[in-house]
Amino acid sequence: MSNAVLVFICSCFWLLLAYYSLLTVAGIIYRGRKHDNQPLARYPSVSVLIPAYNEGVVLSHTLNAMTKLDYPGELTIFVLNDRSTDNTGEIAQFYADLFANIRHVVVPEGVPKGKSRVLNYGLSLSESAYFAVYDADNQPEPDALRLLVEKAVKTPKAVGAVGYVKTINEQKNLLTRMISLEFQVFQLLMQAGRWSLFSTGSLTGTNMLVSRAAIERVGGYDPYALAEDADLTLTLTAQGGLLPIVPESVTWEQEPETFAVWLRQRTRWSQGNIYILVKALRERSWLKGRVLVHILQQYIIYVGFAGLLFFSDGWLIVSYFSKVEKLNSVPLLLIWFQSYMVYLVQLVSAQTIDRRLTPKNVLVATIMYCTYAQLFMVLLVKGMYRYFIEARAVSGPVWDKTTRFGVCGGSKNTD
Amino acid sequence: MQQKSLLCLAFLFFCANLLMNVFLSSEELLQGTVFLVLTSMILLVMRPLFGFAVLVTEILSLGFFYTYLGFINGWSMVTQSEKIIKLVVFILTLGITWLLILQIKTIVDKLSQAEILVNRYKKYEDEAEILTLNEFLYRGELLHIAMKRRGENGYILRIRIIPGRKSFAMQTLFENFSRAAVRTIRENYDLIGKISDNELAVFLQNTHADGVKIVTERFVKNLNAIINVPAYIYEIQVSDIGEKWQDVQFALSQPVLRQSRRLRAEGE
Repeated sequence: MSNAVLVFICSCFWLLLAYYSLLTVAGIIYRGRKHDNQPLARYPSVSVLIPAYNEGVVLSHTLNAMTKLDYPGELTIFVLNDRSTDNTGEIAQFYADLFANIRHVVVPEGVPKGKSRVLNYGLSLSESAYFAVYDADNQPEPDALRLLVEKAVKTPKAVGAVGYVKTINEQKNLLTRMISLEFQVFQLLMQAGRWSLFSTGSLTGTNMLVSRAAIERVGGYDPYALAEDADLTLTLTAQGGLLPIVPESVTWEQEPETFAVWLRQRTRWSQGNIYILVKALRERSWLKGRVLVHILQQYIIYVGFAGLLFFSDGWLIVSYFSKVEKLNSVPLLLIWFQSYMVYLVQLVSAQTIDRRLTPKNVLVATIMYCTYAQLFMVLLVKGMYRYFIEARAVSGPVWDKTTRFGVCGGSKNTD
Repeated sequence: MQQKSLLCLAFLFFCANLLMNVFLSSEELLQGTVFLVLTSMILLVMRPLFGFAVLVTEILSLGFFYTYLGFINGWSMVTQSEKIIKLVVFILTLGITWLLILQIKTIVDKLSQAEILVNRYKKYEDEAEILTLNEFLYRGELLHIAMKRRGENGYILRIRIIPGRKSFAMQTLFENFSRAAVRTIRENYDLIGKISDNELAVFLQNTHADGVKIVTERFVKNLNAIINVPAYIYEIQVSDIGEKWQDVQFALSQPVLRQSRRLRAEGE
């Protein structure tokens, strides 16, 4: 009986690895293809929404990058100041006074706190055909927005577009380097693979574009969603909209430099994704077509993959103390090796595509499976705990704001 | 720097092959070598990123295949460990082979780009007295400035060969058209430049419309004296140089821009 269970579980794991391998290859091919880069005859109006809460450390760099955006159409930038207590307001107002297309908006108090509510308020103020969202620590490259708009307009049925988020402080320490590598794989390579195979793209919370008509159809952001980007992705996809991936549209983002900040941020993401998993059980419109691909993807990660990881680690511990390792019905060692290989190949592929294949990065990639990747289970447990605690709260979930760090100039350079 | 890394990769390739000899049985070694040779051929032919996709597919497929074999044959932990070591050695060799080929392709690419640059800075084409486009534009600009100062007129004659289905004779046609053009112009006074593989430009200074007509007729006469070429195989376009040399420069550079764009696209 235990043998049959083991064979079943390992077969599932094997299939999961095959699926991720397929995504990797599809992602590489998508990145290698030549894309249409013809300009549009007319560029629609765009509002850039920057939700900001105590962003004094980074906001001037962000706004400086915004002033360099090369967009041929009408562009308005809204700094949505969520009643910051630091000098965020002062910086935003200074830039608003300097540039006619930058506006400083103080968001009225309200519940639930968080990015979704702030974005909904920003949407109520703007009138543009499209809106783009950039986090307050982002520095988009000058052509980032234009490329998103071009793709969104040219792709039939597209209701927006998603760009690429690179790590500005990658070289700060080992943690930021690992985050950067993780983003290269899961935020871009896998996204590109999924878009290539299933025409499904996921909004990433920043460097993303959505049409006003589409967001109005779905009634804006869900204010209770902590992973508001994933939630909006599902809602828009359920309406039949496509979200193409634009790897050439790049923004540079600051990532957590300390483990504690990283843990808080990722717990919030994990909690947000659990909220979506639960929501998926009652949203019937989410269980068909492309949106089902998204949902399955979520379940594969948070239920399938996590379950298999728990099992794998549990088996390892049990086999250490007993004689279960003598079971030869399943080549456990080879499966473990293959999962390590798939993970490593994904990391190396992402580095190769981004022309970031350096001995240092390869070395970091080789240790990530046994270190960084294993923390996923900690995040999942913490996320679940917080989800169930805060689900009972009347005021809704608590938005745990990511702490920003001082910006070092010119850190976009790679080693 | 690139030579150094190429040597370093060649050394690593040698070491990886040595490891293959140590860890793989003679049968596996033969299979591995055939696999490596086939992969190398694919990598050489394909664009870098697509070649990389093939490499990734191969590496992952090998892993899945071995896992499948382990499952079917019920391999023990010891056998699995042995197979993993062999796989690691082979994947390492495959990876180093890819890097080596990538490096070689990069060097070849840079060499051909350097060749294009050298050609661009050459003063004369292979045919005597025919200037390269760069040199033609440079000298033309100087003449234009002098002409403007003296209040003179100038003309550009563009002689385009349209070989149609006879493109196999393009080189012969071009050489003879060049020879006829050189015989036609005033030595040390007018300029002839190669615009593209099928086009010549002639800079006629201090002349007027009647003078241009005389030159054109003389060119046709000289050409017919050298080869018996039908009229539909070429066309001659006359344009006044005008006030701005930049306009001439832009018009003449168009084919070259297209060509370099094509070369860049091929390089990618």
